[in-house]
Amino acid sequence: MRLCDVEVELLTHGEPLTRQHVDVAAIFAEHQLGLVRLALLMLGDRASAEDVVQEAFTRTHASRDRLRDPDKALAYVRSAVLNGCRSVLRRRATVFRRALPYDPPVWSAESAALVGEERREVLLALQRLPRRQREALTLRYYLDLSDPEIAETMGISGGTARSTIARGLAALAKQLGERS
Amino acid sequence: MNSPVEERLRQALSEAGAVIDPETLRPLSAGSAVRRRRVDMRWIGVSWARVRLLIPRASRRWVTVASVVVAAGVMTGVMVTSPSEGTLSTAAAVLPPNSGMADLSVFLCHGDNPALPSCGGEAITKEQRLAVQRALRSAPWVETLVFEGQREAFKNFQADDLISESVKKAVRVQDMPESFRVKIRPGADYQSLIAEVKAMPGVAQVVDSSMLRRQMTAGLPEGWPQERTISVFMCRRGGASALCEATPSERGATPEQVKVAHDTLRSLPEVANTQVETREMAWKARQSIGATAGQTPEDMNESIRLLLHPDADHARVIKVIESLAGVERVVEHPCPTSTSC
Repeated sequence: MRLCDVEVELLTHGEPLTRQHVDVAAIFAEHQLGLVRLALLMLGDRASAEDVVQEAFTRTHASRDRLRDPDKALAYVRSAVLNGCRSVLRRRATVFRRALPYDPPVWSAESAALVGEERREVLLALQRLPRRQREALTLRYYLDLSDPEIAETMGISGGTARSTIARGLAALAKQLGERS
Repeated sequence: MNSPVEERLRQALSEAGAVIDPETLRPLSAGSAVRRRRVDMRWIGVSWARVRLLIPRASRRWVTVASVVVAAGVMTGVMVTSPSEGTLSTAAAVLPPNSGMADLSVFLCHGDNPALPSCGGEAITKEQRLAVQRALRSAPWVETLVFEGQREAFKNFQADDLISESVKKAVRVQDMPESFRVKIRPGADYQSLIAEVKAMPGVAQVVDSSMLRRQMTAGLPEGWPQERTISVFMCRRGGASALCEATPSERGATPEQVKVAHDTLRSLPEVANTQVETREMAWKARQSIGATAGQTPEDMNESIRLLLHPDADHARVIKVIESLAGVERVVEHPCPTSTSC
């Protein structure tokens, strides 16, 4: 700790640290539902979705000292959730296929009762898109993020975000037999 | 103006997202408690396959039995679920060593089991347990019948060195299911009786591990020791794996991808032999064990079977496999018992 930090702490004794830190807990408290739903749309099952968000929270919380810009914090947290989803999907790939099905995703036939048939068709088509397109479309059409926000969350440029969304939509329309 | 596709997508996402009721959201926790309970997906070694599972987390008292995974020389791990989410995992129960490998395990409901619709949150009653026992005892296809109580199940579970410590820590005696472990006479047709026992009150789940075992090994090349074999399943047209995104033609692996994968793997120093199993071969193998119910040859994946040299580094090979395009799943086939294959 540098000297001036000590001084600041002494001066702000009445309202400790909050001013220097982004309040990660508050961000999560406010956005947990949205984040879990985002992860659910990426992963298809609720338990993994909640786990990914919990994990992202734990990590962000541990490194909150490095998170000083409140404007960037939400994008950072969303990226953490997306990254968590990616690694779950990667790890799932190495599970054996023949004997044991794993958790029925929300859009599987088992839970058709939860999500209507027509919706399921769209979700399945979405699942079939390349990862980047799937992520970008979910961020746009579920969270209603702008191009720059999507770019920041996914760690790509604004132009790439735009073209990824356009290509994703076109591919989706093709799969669903519609014109985009 | 939104296009129809945008509109449909928006609605589908919103409806799927709404599946999660904010009221039931598991609260986030910070600090050391998180680290202790943090969820982690990891490998659990099981006797003849390696299965990756979610580790139980959150409130441990919700850990209940849902479905099964085979573990440990003798038999069964049990996936455990939390009632609200429907997925967690792993506890395991093992047959007493002298009773041999169970073919069928009948898991009984216990109080803490609201996740299982067949249990309705009720524990099995004495009368129901007796009825199940009578039904199993009178079945002509049963060779031996062993009852495993919670304490014994717990003891076996804790003694199983294939189960990771974090899972062991998360499981308590009262989380373990009681079960009947059944050994089937060779050649018996017991499918209709499985259905009958499944329907009995107080029965949580019936697991046909003998079928699982057969499915795991169906189609493995003659004379390849299981523990040195790895199966690489290629992406299949119309398959649902999100990992197969980079492949064209509705995500089936292209012949080029299969060729590249095969050539790459064949050239590894760890790999002694390879064999490509076509979908037709996979279908025939499945047919031969009578496990094709509800499936068509279209549901089969093409696979590359690898025979590794003794003492080869499996992890390194798997790393290479994971870097290949068009691969959907990797399966290892360790020994069915800890002492022999």
